[in-house]
Amino acid sequence: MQLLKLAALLIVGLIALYGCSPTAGAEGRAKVGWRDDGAPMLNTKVVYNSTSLSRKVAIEEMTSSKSGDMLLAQVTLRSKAGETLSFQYKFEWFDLNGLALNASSAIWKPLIIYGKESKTIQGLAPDPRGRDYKLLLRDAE
Amino acid sequence: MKRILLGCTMLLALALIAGCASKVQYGDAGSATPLSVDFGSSDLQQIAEAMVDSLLTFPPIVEMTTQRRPVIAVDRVKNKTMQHIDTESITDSIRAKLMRSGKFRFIDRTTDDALIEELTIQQESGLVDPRTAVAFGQQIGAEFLLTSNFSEIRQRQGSITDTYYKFTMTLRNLRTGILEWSDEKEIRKTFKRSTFGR
Repeated sequence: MQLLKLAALLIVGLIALYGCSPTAGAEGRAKVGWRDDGAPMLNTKVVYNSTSLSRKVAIEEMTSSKSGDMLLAQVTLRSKAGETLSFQYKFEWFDLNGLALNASSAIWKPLIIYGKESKTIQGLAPDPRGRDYKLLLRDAE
Repeated sequence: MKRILLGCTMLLALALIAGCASKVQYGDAGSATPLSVDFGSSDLQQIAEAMVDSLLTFPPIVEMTTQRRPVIAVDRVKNKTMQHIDTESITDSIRAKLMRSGKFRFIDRTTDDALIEELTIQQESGLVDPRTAVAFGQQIGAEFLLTSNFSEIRQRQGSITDTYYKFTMTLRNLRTGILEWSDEKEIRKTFKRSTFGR
């Protein structure tokens, strides 16, 4: 009787798990402003949508630099786990007014972080209008 | 007891039915989930993005493209992999991204036949106003040639297949013959056959 109940619960649990699909577990957003003396000023905001992901990895630093008139984004991630982790990430870009530049063409890229390692990823704006970027990070399926 | 058993059986049957139904759905074109070690859509996108990012951030290229938009011709990719790959699709993606950046202009020799046909009609058919007809010999010559190599190393050991791809791209100055920029993108894919199933 007890065993049967357990089996029923297990089956329901399995079905529920089967229906899960990966969403962006962490989102980091960086907005570039310019101070009066011309130096860049970066406002960053990191949101963790998944507690399992926030336990495994931390978005440590978000910076950006100019390459000609194009903005180059750089994000440093640090693994909190002991084992090798696989993620997917993508950069989305926005112009001065917050309009998306590559919302439909941004691609997920694979990322492997070894245990306790910190890793730097970079992304280049699709064109000179890019001023504001968002990093999306999710577990590899 | 009987009711629980019945419930379990029904749930199992439902799960089986749900798992068996065929369905078609749209997927994410930018997804990076590999299906096999063969060359896939995500590999193509990763290569295109890596090449474009590298070219657009290379300091001499940045300096050159601040004042003008150089004209580039794209050469066919030398496919040295063991797979049949539409390599033009890779260079098309790279060209599209470079054009979107607004830093370069391109010439396309693959559509020259249609272009010559159109110009011939404009010049010789007598249908087109001679003041607006485009004359031959006015095109801009390319300043650079974008060439690429694509190679693959595949190794098998027991149940593991390891595939390494390397895409190398070079920008060559047509007048001086100098290689102005070069970079490569490496991709490694590993497949491990499970003990059970295939």
